[in-house]
Amino acid sequence: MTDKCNHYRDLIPRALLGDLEAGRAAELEGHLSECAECRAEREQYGETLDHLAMVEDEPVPGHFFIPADARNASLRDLFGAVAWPWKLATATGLVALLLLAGLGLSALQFRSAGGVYAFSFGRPLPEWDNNAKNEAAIQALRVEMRSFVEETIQSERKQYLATLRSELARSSRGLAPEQRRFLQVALNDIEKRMNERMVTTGASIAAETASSMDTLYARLQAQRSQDLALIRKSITDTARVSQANDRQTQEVLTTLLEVADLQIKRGIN
Amino acid sequence: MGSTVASGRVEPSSEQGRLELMDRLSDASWVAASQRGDTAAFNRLVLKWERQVYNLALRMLQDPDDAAETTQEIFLRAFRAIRSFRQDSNFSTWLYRIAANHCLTRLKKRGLHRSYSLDDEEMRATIDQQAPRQESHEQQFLREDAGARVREALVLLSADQRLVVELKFFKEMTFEEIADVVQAPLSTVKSRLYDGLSILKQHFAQRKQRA
Repeated sequence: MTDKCNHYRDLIPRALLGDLEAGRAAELEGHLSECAECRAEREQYGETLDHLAMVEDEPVPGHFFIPADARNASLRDLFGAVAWPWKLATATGLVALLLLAGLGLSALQFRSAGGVYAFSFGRPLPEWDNNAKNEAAIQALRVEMRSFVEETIQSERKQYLATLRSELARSSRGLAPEQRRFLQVALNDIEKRMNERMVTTGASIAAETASSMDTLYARLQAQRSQDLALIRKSITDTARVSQANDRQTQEVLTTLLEVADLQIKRGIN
Repeated sequence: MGSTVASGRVEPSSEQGRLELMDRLSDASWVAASQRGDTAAFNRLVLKWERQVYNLALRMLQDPDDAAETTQEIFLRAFRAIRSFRQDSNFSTWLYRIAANHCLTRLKKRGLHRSYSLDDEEMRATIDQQAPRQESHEQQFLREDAGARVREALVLLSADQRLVVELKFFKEMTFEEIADVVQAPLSTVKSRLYDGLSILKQHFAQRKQRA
């Protein structure tokens, strides 16, 4: 037997099973016509195939029916039924999932305080700053209160001035035009000063809100007293320097002061 | 069946092709019903395919009791996995894949997942001793028939070779279908088949000489 024979002998079963191209099959036939040993080899393969062809299936020893309650497959059964690449993929997926879950749990932070819960993955939880939260709420309340106080003071001042003007108009009916003009100028001057004070009062109240509410109310009372003193002083000064400082004018001014006092006291109370 | 098994499948227009098509259609409807949990429909599939599966297991495992038990397990597995069968291949291909995997696993557990050479004296002694000891009168009679002779020879093959020989010669599958069942490349399938055939050829030639 030569190397050439070895080559052709590999082709014999392929030719018998129709797994050889026509050209190579013809080449094999050519060799077989010349080589008795390879013909014997082909005969042996042929007999082998004949043996296989004679085999008939055995009858089953009994039927292999599935019972009606066989529906519920266990995970193990399902896992066993799939091909190994899927098994590998499933196992890898499960391991990855477990790792991720582990990492997630290790990075999870949880805190509960006062009925409030906080979670965080990976990043540390922010400091639980009750004081900061309270301070923010208090600050917001202060701003609100400051606004209310400012509005109240301004409203009161406008009301004072309107009352003074009304009282002036009522009391000065019998006065000479020059006297009325004097009183009007005096009142305008009071109003101008009062408006200037409003600006400084706003800033002052804003500063006061940094302290306690009690201080704020104390500041409000003091402001009202200062307003009263200012009105008194303004009217008194105006009357003193006036050349028309006669009795009638003095009476009107006195009336105005009384009205202003009443208004301010009523506002304070 | 025989040396012309690889001559290819018949055309669907022929009578045999029509019958094959009918077979596949009935498989498909029974499979669909089985996927809805209809045990009776699946048992029709069992009735149709049990002989093929049992004989595959018998030739792979070489033991009738083991083959019967394995066949029952194969059908149980198939039933439980039937919902995953997408019908993109024949039901038989899918069933044979489950059967093949189960038999190979069984052989591995038994420690018989190995190939033997004809020079393996231990194996030769095993073959010579096993057959008479396990035989009933009926089996003793059958021992000389083709089935017994071939079964005896198949023991010489590795499990992988035996499976490919089984699918090619006794299930009449194409190389492509076999590759699909055993989940291996076509070249590997052919290599296993021709190596297995070579061993069988040598065995039958020696047997003939001894006779």
